[in-house]
Amino acid sequence: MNEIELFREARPEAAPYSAEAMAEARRRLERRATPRSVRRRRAGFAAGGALLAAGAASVALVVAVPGGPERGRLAAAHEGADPVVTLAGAAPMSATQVLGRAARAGDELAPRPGQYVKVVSQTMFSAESNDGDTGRQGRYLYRTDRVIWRPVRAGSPDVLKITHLPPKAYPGWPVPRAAFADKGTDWVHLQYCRNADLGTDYTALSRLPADVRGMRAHLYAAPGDGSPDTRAWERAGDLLRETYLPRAQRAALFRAIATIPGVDAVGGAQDAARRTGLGVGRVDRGIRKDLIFDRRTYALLGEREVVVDAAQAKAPVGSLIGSTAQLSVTVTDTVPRVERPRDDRC
Amino acid sequence: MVSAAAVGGMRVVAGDAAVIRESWEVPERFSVLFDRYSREIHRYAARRLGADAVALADDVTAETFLVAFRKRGRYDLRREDARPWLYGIAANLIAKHRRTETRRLRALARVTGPDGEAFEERSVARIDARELQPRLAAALAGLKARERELFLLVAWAELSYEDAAVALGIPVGTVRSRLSRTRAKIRRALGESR
Repeated sequence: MNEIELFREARPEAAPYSAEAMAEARRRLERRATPRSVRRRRAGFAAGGALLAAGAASVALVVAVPGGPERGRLAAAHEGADPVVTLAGAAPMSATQVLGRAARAGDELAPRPGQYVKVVSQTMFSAESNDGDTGRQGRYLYRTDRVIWRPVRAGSPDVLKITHLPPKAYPGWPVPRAAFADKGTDWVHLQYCRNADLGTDYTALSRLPADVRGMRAHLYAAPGDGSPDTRAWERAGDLLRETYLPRAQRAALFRAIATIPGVDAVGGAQDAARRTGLGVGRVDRGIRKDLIFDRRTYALLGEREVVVDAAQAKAPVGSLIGSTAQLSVTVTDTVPRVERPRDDRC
Repeated sequence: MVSAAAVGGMRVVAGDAAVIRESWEVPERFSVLFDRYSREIHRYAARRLGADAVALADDVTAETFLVAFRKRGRYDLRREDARPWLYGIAANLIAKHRRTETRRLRALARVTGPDGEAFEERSVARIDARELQPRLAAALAGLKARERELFLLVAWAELSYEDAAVALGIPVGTVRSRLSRTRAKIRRALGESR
């Protein structure tokens, strides 16, 4: 008998795994797993996260917030942001006009195969949690800084750097413990996270219809919950979020969005970096969702979600429950190699 | 939360890699892995940490799946069997309790007494049922931490050399040479204690 067999034979009896300990471990895991799923459903941001650069000067479209080191300042701006906003009055122009100008704005980055589209953004979205012990439902606003590198052609993984920022209270709800579970910075490979029918790598986006009618049909072919108009709006957001669209498709998309019933424009819409622009959006289940455009360049700045029906959204009217800022979209030749730390063999 | 039974019923055939891939989009799916392997991981942790440290084994098991959940985005989907990955995480966590483990091994080894004279037979027999035999405990106590870790993944968790290599993130050639050195060391230790 060799040493391995000897020790295997003489293996000590393992202390039993008590049902209580096992149930508790499973609950802890569920608590970790549940909020994210809800985020995904609510905003479509969990897998994707941020926003797109539609706009002007997309090459290194770094939208500087005046003064100070960018990162620290943006974080500070976010901390100070009051989650209750007043919906500003009418925009100086119609949604169709804003979207028409956005369609004409922007340069062509023309990334090549082998390169990466790098998007830097900041997000705040609502999340729900379930306390495994009490069964009580919690709500909070989770916030992250994100940098994503996406290969021009799908195949190699996206690399995502996600930095968790302290959560905020969902208006009227205490911040649940689960909200603090995500901490620090994670580097993630996103290899197969995209739906096959909705690839948003540059190559896939280049193949989308470049005319309004074709793009509109593509938007309305989106599966999912909600009315056809809601689904079309959500798909439009998915195409814009953490992507780079070729100019032709971008123009077609903005003009197609203008045809979705209920879409209108508002002024004074602020993004997560506290940049104010023109909001173009619609109301869905008690929440007004806007794309925010720069007033001068018509570049897409970010997204915003504000409660307009307290009963449906379970938060006071004016509550800011979603806010993002796309800070830059650039093309890079390299992607950070996500090293496995020595003790991380996972 | 989808119940394990419901999930199992719907997707009997989903392998570990498929479950992990699904959990990238539907995080709740990850609990399928917990239902599959938590008992096994607990068994291993409980053996390593000893009968009087069940609470530690409970913690290590819970933590193993939380860490795995957090790192699921980096899982290599070509690996159909997630157990080596989970064992690797568990082994890392157990290593944090190295002092507990060695203290226990030394205590068990002392049952024979420094001169090899056994204690009263009854007491040894009682220990035998739940614990490691003293001479084996002594041999394990004499190993370096990384030798013990690899040896027990193969001997107790019954991982293949390839799986142990995945678990510990080392080349399979290193597994072979390290194991062979470790076995020689154990042989010597057992020879001396006889």
